[in-house]
Amino acid sequence: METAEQEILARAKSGDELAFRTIIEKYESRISATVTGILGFSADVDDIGQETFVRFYQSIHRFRGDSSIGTYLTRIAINLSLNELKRRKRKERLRPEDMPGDLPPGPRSGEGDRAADARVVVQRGLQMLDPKFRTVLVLRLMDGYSTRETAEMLRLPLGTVLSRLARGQARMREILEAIDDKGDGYKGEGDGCA
Amino acid sequence: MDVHRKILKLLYRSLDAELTEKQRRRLEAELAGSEEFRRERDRILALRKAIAESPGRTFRPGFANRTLARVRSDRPTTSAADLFFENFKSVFQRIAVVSAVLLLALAAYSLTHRDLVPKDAVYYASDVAFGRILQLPVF
Repeated sequence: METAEQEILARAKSGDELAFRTIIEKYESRISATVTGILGFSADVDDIGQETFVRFYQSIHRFRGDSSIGTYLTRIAINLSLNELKRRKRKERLRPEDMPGDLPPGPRSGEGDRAADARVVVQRGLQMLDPKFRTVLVLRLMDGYSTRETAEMLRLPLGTVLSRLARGQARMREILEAIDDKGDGYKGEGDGCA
Repeated sequence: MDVHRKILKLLYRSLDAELTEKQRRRLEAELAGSEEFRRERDRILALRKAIAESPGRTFRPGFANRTLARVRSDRPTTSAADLFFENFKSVFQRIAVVSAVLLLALAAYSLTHRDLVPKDAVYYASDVAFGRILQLPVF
């Protein structure tokens, strides 16, 4: 852990609210990416994000700094997001398979919105993916963690992470091609996407 | 596993882990010799780029304020009365523990020393006492 981060952490541990605010502001976009990647664009993303930081605050005295604050927060965010997915699954058992509860709005038609549309389509595709593949893709490709860090965070063997990454990408391609066939905006050929 | 799937697996693996020298050379040879595999690699790279760039939404504005408000509301309140009862409770708990230990010690002592005065002696003393009492002149 960097010295500056250690200082901020020590101040936050001693009850300095400004230090804790600094931590929130530094990591909120990363946590937002992780939670949105797993849960999709939904109303409860904000709640899960807040809960992540509240849990961190409650356990801050037990945090010894073996990992970075970002990694620790991401681990909390993943656990909370996966719990939320389970809760949703229980709630939506009667809904058809592969239809997540909170899909982002469909793509727009304007020329300037193409990049945003591609992002929305990718998010839709991610939400149709099995959570065990989705979580690995989010951590590795969206959040940029190494495969080893991803394995540590999910407490999985490295081989399992590599296998899930390969299978997740293959499945994601099938999903996006199916969406593309319906004309929803993703172009998976070469530089055509995003 | 057929050759195509094997190469595809190598291709995916090459983007997330180090290949052995032998695997790397094999993949390079396949890529150099196959237009299909090169296209496949480009598609995979495009997909990864799309996923990496997809998070387009952050939390609603004022996230830090909302979170801090929640932290404050979850924090346990310690008023003067709460503090008094907390201290009272902890003192009472200590007294209760010490009393329990003393009671146990007393019970143990009385159990181990209950035969210190033999029953016979007690009864004998009682007979003699009664005899003496009976022999005493009546006023």
